[in-house]
Amino acid sequence: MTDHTITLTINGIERLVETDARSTLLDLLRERLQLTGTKKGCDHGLCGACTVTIDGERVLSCLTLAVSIDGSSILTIEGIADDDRLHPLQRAFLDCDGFQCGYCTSGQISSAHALLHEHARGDLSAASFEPPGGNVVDGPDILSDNEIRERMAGNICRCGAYPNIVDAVASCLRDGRP
Amino acid sequence: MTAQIGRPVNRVEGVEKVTGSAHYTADTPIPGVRHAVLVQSEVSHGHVAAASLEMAARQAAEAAGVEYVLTSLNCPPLNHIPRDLTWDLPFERRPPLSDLTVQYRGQHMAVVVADTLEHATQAASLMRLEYQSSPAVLTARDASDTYQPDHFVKLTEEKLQDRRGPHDEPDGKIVSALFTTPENAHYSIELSATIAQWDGDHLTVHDSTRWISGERRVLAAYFGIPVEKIRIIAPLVGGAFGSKSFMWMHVALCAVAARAIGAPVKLVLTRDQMFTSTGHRPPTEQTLRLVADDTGRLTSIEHHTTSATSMVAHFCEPAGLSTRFLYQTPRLVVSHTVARTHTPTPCFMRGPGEAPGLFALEVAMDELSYVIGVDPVQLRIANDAHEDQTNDSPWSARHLLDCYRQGDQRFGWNERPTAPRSLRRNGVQVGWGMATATYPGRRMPAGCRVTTANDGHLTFASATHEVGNGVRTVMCQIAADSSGMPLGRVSFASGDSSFPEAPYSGASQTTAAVGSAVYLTAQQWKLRVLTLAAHELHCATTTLDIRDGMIVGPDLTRPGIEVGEILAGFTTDLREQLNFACASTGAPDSGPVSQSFGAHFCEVEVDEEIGRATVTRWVAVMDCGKVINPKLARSQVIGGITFGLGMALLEQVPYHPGTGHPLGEYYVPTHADVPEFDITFIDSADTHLTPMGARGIGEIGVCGVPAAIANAIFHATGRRLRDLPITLEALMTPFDLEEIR
Repeated sequence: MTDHTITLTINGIERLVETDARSTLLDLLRERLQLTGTKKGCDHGLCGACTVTIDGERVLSCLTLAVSIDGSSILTIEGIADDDRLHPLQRAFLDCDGFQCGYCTSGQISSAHALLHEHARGDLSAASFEPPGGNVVDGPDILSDNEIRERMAGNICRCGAYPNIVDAVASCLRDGRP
Repeated sequence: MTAQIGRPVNRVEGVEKVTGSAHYTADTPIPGVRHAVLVQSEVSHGHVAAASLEMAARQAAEAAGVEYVLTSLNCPPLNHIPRDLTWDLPFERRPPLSDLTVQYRGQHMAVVVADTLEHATQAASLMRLEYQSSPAVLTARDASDTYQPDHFVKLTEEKLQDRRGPHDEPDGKIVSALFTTPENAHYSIELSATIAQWDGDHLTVHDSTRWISGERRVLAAYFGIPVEKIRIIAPLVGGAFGSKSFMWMHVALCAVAARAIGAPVKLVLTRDQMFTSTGHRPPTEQTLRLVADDTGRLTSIEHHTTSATSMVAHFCEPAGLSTRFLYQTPRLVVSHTVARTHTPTPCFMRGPGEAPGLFALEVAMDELSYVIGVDPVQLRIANDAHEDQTNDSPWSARHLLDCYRQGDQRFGWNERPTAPRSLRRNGVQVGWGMATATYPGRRMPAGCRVTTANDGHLTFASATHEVGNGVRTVMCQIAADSSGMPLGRVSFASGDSSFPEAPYSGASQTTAAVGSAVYLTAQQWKLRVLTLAAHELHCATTTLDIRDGMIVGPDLTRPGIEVGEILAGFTTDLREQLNFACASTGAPDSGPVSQSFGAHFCEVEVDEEIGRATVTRWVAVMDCGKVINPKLARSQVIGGITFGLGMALLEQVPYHPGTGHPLGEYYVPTHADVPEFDITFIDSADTHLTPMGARGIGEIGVCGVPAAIANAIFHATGRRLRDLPITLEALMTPFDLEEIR
């Protein structure tokens, strides 16, 4: 009676999924689909560990009821690498030591992955309006460290890898907007 | 051959962590696993009404998907755990669900087990319990039940009540003040998770723990079964910072439930439950009193601390321990008082004692520098402790004065105007502050096993825990150098009680303790290989060596022989000699004292109109012995400083003072809060403590940080703030500038 069947395309694979109407996307991914790369850190939208992309936009999967996204396309951390070839962001997190315990890392990388897309699209952030002031019509060409911090501020890392995360993201943005 | 020790090697489990394939407890696939949800007390003191418990349990049991409801009415009796675990360690003395009393809000009252998480959550929400409340003591100040513990945990030399020198305080320049620190939460992002499974009378527990061997002992005691029948598996641990140890009650209840229903049970705490059920740093009140002569030489230090514990466990926040030796003083009085309150059980948290204690001591030293009229760095140099006065011993590899000097130079401290409110930038006040850091160099006994694959690949294993401290990476580096094998030919496995025993991952000792065991094991492995090879190659063992995976020696007919090639020639019996375990001892009983030191320098901007303090720049110079991996070490010190930044400006578990109910959220630093970091290591080996020369680095980063920030805020604004966290209100409360002059 509480179960519903929905269609989700997860990391490029379409599937029919049975879900409890009360189930969050996070619990669905982890407990029913064994996609445990997405992590539960607070279950109420504070920490960002559960960040995934739905139809191209980053969302907190702990605040998303699975039945509310029937027909959507989801990208999780498991879908970011190209098979065995790491995405440049993943490589950069490794080389910059952008994590310690690694528990928030899936969410950090999912957020950063979406950040790259948002930057390419010309999205603004609160930091875009700070001095010296950049292009607030089409979005900044280069993201300053402050911009990266602002755009990553929804992802908490208790180990405190923040500067290394900023370095990792910055290294993937070095060439400016595509 | 390239030495691996000292190289900035990437984390060996890094690829798993960036691809989502890294495995934490709650990720463990267990067929047929059931889901458990806890029901917790909503009052701080009293009794639950048995009738309401019975009725609520019956209602929950009838809900969809529910298989079992565990309460104190049907919980099988659990044995008491041994006194050596409870009298000086923060284990709760009372087994869980053993009676109807409530001793703190958030005490476990029931466990609901169902086929799905949603069903268990729904059923648990139906359990409305009625309580007979009793008056609750919620703060140390209101407590009448207090005591003064003798020493810290098992360390009898770490005296919590200590004094030396004359009875009476001398005359002189005096700084005397009260400091308070709030309840802090570890807030690891991984929620504590347990999966318990019985196979006959054998229990397997997957748990996010950082003390496998301790947890095994406690579970054995609770259930009255031998430790050999219990296996604990802790894959990767998603941060601990002092929590996830001293086995918390949910672990035992998960095992009770699994046995009752004859199926595996998974229990993941909620974020709210993490505050009440996995420990915290207790609030402290500290009185610090310094007396100095006119030149600033200390003549007396008194440091008196009161901290809170629960009604069911002992823990003392040992804030005054480092005051006993950090500065030279002829007179010292240190005391610690613990107050029993109806609050959850506290425990160790990164820099237990040092983090709140150095806040008081190092702010008081800053105050003294203004009373005397001497630069804060110079004041510390003038009072440098050239030996450990607590036992008249010399220090081992101590370089604190270098830390001050290098930090001073890197920060540009000599340009600091002494007077508060001297610096201003972009319409906000700017201040520079500094503080000393210190943390003991510890080392407990540890074991390690090596397994040699036919191709010569070595796997070292120890029942330690990868909590983000980089133990797997650092152990591979030590193993490579000590065995002579290349880094790519060694692996390190952790997190399984079937591996040789290791201490808890705490007290900043994993590199020293487990590293020493790995070092010895790898050295022994090399000796065994060379002895066997010498026999085969008809030359003396002493002429041979292993470098980069090749056996080399002047008497060989070839420049080098691959270890794998030699192994291929061995019989199975001979190869079996290369699979063995070694144990290393604890720290040496005598000789110089191993203690880490450091100096923090920081810049803070204070916008007084909106009460915002922003840390903009940080210089830290750390004296932690030989650094095994500078990349990981830098990350860990930055993490420690960020932890201290949260303690200084953001973190407090907000309870309603009357009811003990939580209010609002717990703020931890985010990307937006962190400064630019400049981290330097003295990198001088402490070979007295470990053969690699390493001391720990997990905790020293946080030590002294809140004081450095508070001192910088004083310099920026003239406000001397002695209560943590330093909030918007504290920065905006009107004050009389003249008072500070």
